[in-house]
Amino acid sequence: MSEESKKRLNRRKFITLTGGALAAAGLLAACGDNTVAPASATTAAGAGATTTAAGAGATTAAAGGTATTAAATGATTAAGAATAAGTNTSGVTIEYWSWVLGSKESVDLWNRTHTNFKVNYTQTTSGTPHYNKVKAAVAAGSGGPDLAQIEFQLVTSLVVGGALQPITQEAAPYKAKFIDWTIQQVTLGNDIYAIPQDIGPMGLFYRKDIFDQYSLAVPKTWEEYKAAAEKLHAADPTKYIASFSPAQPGQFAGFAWSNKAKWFGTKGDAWQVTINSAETKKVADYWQDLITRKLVKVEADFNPAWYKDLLDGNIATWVGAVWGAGTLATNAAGASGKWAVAYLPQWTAGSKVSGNWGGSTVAVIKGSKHVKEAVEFGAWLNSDPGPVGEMIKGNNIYPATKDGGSLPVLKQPNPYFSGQVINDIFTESAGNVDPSWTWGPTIDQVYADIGDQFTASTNGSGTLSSALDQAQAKTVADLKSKGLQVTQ
Amino acid sequence: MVIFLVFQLIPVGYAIWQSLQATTRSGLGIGAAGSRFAGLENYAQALQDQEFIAGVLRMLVFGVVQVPVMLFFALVLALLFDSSFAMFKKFFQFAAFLPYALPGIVASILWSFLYLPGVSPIIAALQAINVKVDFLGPDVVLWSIANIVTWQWTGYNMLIIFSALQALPHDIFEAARIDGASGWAVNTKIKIPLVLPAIILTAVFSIIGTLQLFSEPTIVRTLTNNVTFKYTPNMAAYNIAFGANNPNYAAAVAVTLAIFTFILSFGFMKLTNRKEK
Amino acid sequence: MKTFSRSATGPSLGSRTLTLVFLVAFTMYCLLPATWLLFASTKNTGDLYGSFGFWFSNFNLFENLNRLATYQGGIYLRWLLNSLIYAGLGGLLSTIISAMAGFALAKYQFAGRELIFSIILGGVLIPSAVLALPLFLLLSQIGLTNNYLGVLLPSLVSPFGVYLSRVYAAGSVPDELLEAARVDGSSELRTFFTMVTRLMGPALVTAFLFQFVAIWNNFFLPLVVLSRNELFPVTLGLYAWQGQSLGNPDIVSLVITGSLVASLPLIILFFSLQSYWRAGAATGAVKG
Repeated sequence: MSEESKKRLNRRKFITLTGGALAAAGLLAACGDNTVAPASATTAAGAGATTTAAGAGATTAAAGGTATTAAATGATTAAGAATAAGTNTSGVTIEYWSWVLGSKESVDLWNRTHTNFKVNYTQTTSGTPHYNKVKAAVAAGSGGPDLAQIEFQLVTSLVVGGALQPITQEAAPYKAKFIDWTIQQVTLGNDIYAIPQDIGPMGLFYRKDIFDQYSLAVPKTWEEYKAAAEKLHAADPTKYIASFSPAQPGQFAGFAWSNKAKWFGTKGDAWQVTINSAETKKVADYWQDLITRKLVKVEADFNPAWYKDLLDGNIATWVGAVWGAGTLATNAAGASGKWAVAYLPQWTAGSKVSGNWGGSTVAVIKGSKHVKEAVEFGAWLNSDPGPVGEMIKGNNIYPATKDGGSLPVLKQPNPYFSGQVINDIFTESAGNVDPSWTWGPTIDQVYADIGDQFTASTNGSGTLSSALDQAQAKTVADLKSKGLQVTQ
Repeated sequence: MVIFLVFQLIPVGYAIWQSLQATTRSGLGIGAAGSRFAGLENYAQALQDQEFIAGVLRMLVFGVVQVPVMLFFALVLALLFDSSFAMFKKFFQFAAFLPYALPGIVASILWSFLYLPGVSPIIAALQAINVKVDFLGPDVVLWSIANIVTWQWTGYNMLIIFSALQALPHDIFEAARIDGASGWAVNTKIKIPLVLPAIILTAVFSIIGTLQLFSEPTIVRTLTNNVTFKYTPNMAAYNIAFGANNPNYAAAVAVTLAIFTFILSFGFMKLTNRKEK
Repeated sequence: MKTFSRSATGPSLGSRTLTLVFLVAFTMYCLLPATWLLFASTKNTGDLYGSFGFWFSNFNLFENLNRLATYQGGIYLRWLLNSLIYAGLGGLLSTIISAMAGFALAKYQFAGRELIFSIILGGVLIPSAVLALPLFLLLSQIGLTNNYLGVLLPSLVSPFGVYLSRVYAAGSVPDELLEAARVDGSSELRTFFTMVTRLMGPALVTAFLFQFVAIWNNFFLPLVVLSRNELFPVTLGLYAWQGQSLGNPDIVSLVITGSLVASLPLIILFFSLQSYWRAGAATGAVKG
């Protein structure tokens, strides 16, 4: 063998060996991987046993809400014994993702009191990060949750995006427990896709101290609200009646909702889009006027600077929803005793219409092999006083069940609001939420468009109203480009 | 070699293939989705997507200002460190380089606190002397992000240029000095031309980095509405893929961005090459 | 700058002062935010908002560290460990691969050598979104999302490392030495690991260091590929907490203290390996 050919051979060997090193690297890393994903292994192994165990679970629960509750409370006392036995009779563990505070405690409660399967909880970051993770997991086909927290507005979008599983049959026994319009919002075509957890009936949070100081009357109509805005800002130019966050379409949708507007509807097999309807534009023009006259402070909400304004009283009201009580108490703790709640201002004096902002559901994610267990747990989580109580404590949720409003815990004076029983107002508001509101199939896009267009208009180009026209046009185009049908 | 093939060429190929497809749905969109060959439709959409184009233009404006400013500081620092009369070199160098050692996410979180009214000591200090600034305002926020990037990368670029300077034969400069050339002349006439390749290298990397900006605006976005969800091209691609659930369009956006990057980097290199000759 | 002295004895007092002022100003710019982080990590959330940013308030550092280590079942420590695995293992393997590739590109003649080199370098130009998104879909088809491999494998690619290795190997590994080793009957691989790696030492340390930093600081790839909390690197974990802190101010102090802790390993690494990477970076820059 000549020197030259030997060299060439060696070179080839070298390159092959480089490949070998890579393969070894792969193996090494693969070993590491086994240790981190025992959950999925168990899931796969347990899949066979699922049906029988789940069947049993579903029947018990179907026997009636009260029975489940009783069993739950009973089991709680015997929790020690159950844990010690470490029972998980089906071997099934379902994965649940949520950001709602109190969920972890609820899951712990389940695992202490139920033996037919276990729940594993993962705390996520609310909003886009949460949904992106869920969608990514669906696209990846693995690593996702069985059950995930999904806000009402996104249920339809996620169904159309292929991320949710229909649970019509599994949910049938529990359906009647929940407020009818909440079930309607999670139904698309003939199928149910999620279990309602909480709703967000709207109300007016206001600073009693500031209203007293400037002798403002608590506004009952939007007309009075504007008058209060003028009076306050004239008396102290550093103070505003409210903040307006252009990138908070959820709040704006709530405003529109409470003016009996509709953004979406279905007609046969086609979508109707009415984002720029007269009802919504009336709301837009109202806020545009406040913005133009600098009577509201344009600023992003839910960040430390905004919390500081709530705390310092630079903004005197917040048109929020029931869960906002928790937001205030957590993020403006120092303003305890200064805030109070009033009924949502009205467009027509004397009426009592209301809207909904937020609220969410739990939905079974595509790819889950444990639909029955997930639904059973979800129904328990959202209706049993145990977990519902935990989430009220954690996140001030307002349950979506028909009898949820009468839970004793909701009827207690709230120390943050100087002992006001704030839920009296929200319970009334919940009863007056217009039930016909429908969410569309591309709500991420709609929210992003409205948010971006509103931001542009508050920065001086266009108005909220023209932004709605643009959002309308873009939404229709977007639906069509996705191949969905749109009709008038 | 294989690994480069697998992790560079295949994804790129797959991206191109993806970008030529479209998802089809019908009616209310409940049924299973199909896919079809869409040709260049997604690209046409990308080129008409005003927000995406606005994002690209925004990054161009950003790059035209931020990159030269950063490289100017990096160059001046490198020359000072290379010169004989800077004191405490080690300490100053370490200080300049420290920001690079912080993860981009940490730098962004850190600065976002310094931009936040009510928390930031900087805003408080400026307010005390009656200067009102809103780092997160619609026209300012881009430069606030530019500041984060400059803060992070000046030291790194300084290091590259400085290393190049150190590698030059220093006796030339001594000779020039003895011949009566001023420090200024030595810097502009001898040193800078000699390290020009290093400067170009840093410039190209910076241009690429600019077009790929993602984590800084993503963090800042949590604090202000003025950073929209398609603020930078990379954010647009990510949010279209996962937020709007349209991987095909996202792929088209990403490929378009790649082509842009290629054109810009090569254009820049061509331009500087010609100048050198 | 025009004030620089022409005297052969050295720069004038004026230009020295000017230089010093510039350096001090720039150092302040670099260090002040970091200093703020140091002070902030000693505070609880209330003091963070209520006290002066560049001085101490109630000293809460140890409480913060303790909470950091225990919050959500100590997941932060898990994230740190993950980052260490991704960056350490990824950096190491990537360096070996880069060194081999760079060495092969420098020392062996074969068809398409320059083309391969160009393609590898071209990789620098590809936006991360172009790579990460399709990579995610591909990885998901072979079931590699949501595990360590999903982040590790793509991290093995380091165009900069290959470039550096090639430049350095060309300059520091004499052909005669390779020839001699071949004559002695040493296998190419053995020669590589015993001799070449030693000769290329500084370049390899640099390549490792920069790849380590790149992986440690990477955010986009793990964001796209991972969805399970327990696999997150520390950057992604901090991002998640930062988002959660907006509705739950209790975590703000964790985000800040966590940011500080996440930065320390790199600062220490850079500081302790100074002499290596300075030398290594010089090589890269000269030939650049």
